[in-house]
Amino acid sequence: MAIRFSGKLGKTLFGLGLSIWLTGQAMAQDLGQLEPGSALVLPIDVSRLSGDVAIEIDDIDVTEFASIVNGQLVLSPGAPLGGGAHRITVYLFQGDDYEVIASYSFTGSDQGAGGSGAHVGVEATHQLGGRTVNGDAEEIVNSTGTADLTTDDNSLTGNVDYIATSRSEDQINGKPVNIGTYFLEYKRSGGVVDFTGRLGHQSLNYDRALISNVNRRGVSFLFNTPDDRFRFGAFSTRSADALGIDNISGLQHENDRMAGATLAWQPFSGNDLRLSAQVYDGQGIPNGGLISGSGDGVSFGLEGSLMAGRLRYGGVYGRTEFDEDGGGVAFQSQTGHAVLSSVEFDVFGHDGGSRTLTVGVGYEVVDDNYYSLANPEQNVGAETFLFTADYTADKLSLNLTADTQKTNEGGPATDVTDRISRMSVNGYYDVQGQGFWDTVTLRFGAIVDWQDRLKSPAAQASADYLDMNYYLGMDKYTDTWSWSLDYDFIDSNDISAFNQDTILHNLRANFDYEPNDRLILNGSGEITYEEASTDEWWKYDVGFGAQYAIVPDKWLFSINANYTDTGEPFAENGGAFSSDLTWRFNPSAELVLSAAYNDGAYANESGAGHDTIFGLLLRANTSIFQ
Amino acid sequence: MTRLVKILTVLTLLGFAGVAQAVTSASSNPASFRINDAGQSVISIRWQVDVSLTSGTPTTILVSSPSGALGIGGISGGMISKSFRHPGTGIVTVTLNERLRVDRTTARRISQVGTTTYARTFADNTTLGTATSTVALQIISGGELSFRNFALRFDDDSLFRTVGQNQALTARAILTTNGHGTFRGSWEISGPSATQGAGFRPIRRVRQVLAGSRKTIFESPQLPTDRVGIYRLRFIPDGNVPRGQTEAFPVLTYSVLLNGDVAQLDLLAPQAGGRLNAASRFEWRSVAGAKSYRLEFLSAGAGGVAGDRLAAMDVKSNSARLRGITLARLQGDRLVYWRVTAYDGNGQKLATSPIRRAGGGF
Repeated sequence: MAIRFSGKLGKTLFGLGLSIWLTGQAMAQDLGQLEPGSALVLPIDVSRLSGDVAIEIDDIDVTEFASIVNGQLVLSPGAPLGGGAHRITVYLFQGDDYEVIASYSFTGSDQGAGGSGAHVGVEATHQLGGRTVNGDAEEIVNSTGTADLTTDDNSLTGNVDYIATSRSEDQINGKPVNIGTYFLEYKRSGGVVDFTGRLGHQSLNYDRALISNVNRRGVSFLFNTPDDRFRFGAFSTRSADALGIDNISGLQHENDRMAGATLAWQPFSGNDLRLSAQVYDGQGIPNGGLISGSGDGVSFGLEGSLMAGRLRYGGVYGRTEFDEDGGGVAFQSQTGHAVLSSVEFDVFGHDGGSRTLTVGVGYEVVDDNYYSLANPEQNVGAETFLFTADYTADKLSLNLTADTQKTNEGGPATDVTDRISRMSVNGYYDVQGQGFWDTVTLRFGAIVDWQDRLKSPAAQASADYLDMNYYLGMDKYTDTWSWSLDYDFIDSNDISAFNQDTILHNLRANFDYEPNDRLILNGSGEITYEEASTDEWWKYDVGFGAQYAIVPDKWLFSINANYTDTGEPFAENGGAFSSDLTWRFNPSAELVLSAAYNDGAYANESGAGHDTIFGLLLRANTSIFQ
Repeated sequence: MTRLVKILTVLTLLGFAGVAQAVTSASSNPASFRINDAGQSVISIRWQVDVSLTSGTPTTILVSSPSGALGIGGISGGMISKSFRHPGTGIVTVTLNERLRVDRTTARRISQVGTTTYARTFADNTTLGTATSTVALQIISGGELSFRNFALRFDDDSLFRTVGQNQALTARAILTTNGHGTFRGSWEISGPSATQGAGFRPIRRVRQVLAGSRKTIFESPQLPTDRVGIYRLRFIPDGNVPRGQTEAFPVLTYSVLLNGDVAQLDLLAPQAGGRLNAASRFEWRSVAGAKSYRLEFLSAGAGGVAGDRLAAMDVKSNSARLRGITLARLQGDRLVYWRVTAYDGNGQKLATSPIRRAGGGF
């Protein structure tokens, strides 16, 4: 909730002049050191301000932790801020936007030693023991853990996970000892240009079309001015997902490598319009493919906002070329184009009070042959118009999406073209009622899809359909227990000559119960009924788990059970039961006696259709410099 | 010699007349399948094989097909077989189920010729009789559901995690699909490996209609972290996998370490992939003893650990709506991740939520 002030002079030119004067006088005023649990008094004459005020510490909105005490603005942060220098920014809402009226600095109490020290922490768990599976004995040896590196000033950070195990099912790439993910990152700021360099696993996201949300192993650099008006980034990574020590840099194999760059520029200091250009080149196996292809691409984008941020727009054009077999004879290089654009508008702006409504429209056209190794999630082959509306009030949130797409975009003229349309509504209602209804939330929604054939070459039968999907859910929680109930209904109506309709009902329930610090119970149950064109079946799933501390922090007993009974084609019944008795004889070590029985679909060890497992494990934890 | 040949022919025919059983015919359901060449498809085929018995003696019959073959060459389905006990006479129809994965490369090859067939030959375990059946595979821009991208990640977009005991952890499956169909999937867990074994058991079923060219994000329930050990997680389409058949869909591994000290915080809204704007309402389950909550927004720039913080908001209750000053920091078509951490009155961390992904742009 914003802090509202009632000033004698109101929101006038005097108020504006005062805010300017205050800004000049209070810029970077140092408020000293803040001890944990203590408060800061901001030297602002609150009687001369009118309107809503918001306060940030660095990039954290802490307005809720500010209050007026004896005519003074007092800030009492709740969550920790960490040591070192911090900045307080005070905003006043004027016109249609927040304006900065004051800035201060202070020092957190956990001041480091000057920014050059490094800290290494290691956390690992080791297990040694034996087990029998249907009478056959097996030794168990494994160790997993993580090591972290940080410097006092956070300029250098790193992490590596490892796994060492005698069980082949758990090994990474078949190696008994291997690493999982790792990274090493260096940041430098405070000069003319900020720099970030990263080696190892990383997530790259330059634009929506060409290089988007790709998580790979490799190396990347980013240069940006402190105000972020200019940004240049480059990367080179593996084309495929990877774990383990093999090709650790991600750059060793030419046919499994991609590289790219981005250049982004905000030409006007008073306007957030940003222009960007991206390029990429790579070789690798596409998701779901068998052979290595090669391709490249370029994209141009722009994004920005108007009306003090109430109107936001963005658009990007991308062009790719991809050869499915990397220059072989079976496939030819294919060119594809993509245009992705959107506009979003906050209808009520700041004056909506507790209500908010944001509407958006979008237009996307992506060729069937558009493919970028650096944007594997991109959907293709359609021209789509979209409309969205998001509404929130005190208790209710509603999200509406409507889109219509024409398929076979950029595809062969001999192929069919359909129009597929969707309308979906999702809602969330926080009841905030009395008694039982005090901590109940409701979820509900509906999705309707339908297809109309637009163009059909000879002998291509229509495949139109009308699908409806409804759901309703309820969550209830208290301090000691929670439960949820969900119901889904799908009616898939095949209008084509095949007439392969499907009706599906699904009911699901979950609960957690923790009455004290010794007992934890949880359970789930699910019933599904499905009626397909040639068959119908029921499916039942049930699960239960319990943990009981016989002697807290010393003796722990736990059980878990799962069972599935199904008439679904291709599916088997199955059951799993397991039980552990743990003796923690040391804060970092314990002995575990275990028993498990897996049957049917859940049995995957012995190949006999059921696995009876008994085990005895010694388990210990290593914690260094944590 | 001619007379000898006639005698041998009669004897042979008499011998066949006395044969106890023979595979006589086979058919497939569906007889044809429409495949989208934008990605990989999983085809469920029911082969129905007729076996004729004349011996009158109850017997165990094994019907099998060692491999399937595409007309254009390339992929080949593996061995499928089924044994059954027959009372002795008549024609018995045996059903063998197969789930065939047509990878993207093969789909592209089929698109170059437009249509091809997938054939299997069936035989029983005692006679020379065989029967062949084919499924016609046709490339179409729509057709049945195909997966252009099928990626599995933990909540921070990593492929491998080590977490403390009882720490919050979820995963997400990002599916980019074409075509149309009811997607039936299961989140399945195996482990802890050392104590519970290697079998997978379901923790959540997913049923949703997918239609058209679309990206859909499925978020897993809270993954089990109460017991120490090594776990494996997968998101399998079409429910259970028949024994002996493998699927080329990703599996994630995570390890739960002893001595976790931070509890799980359950997120209620918005759901994964929801749009991030002024109308977004963030809500989570209250944590006993919490005096403040920090809602943090993280960039997608790190992978493997939470990315750089873009903005944050400290609140006293279990819900939050963003002010313009925070939204301004999150503006633009970028992917944003968020999480909530609960603190007590002394600033000690009490619970942390999993990391949830918000949509970027549309």
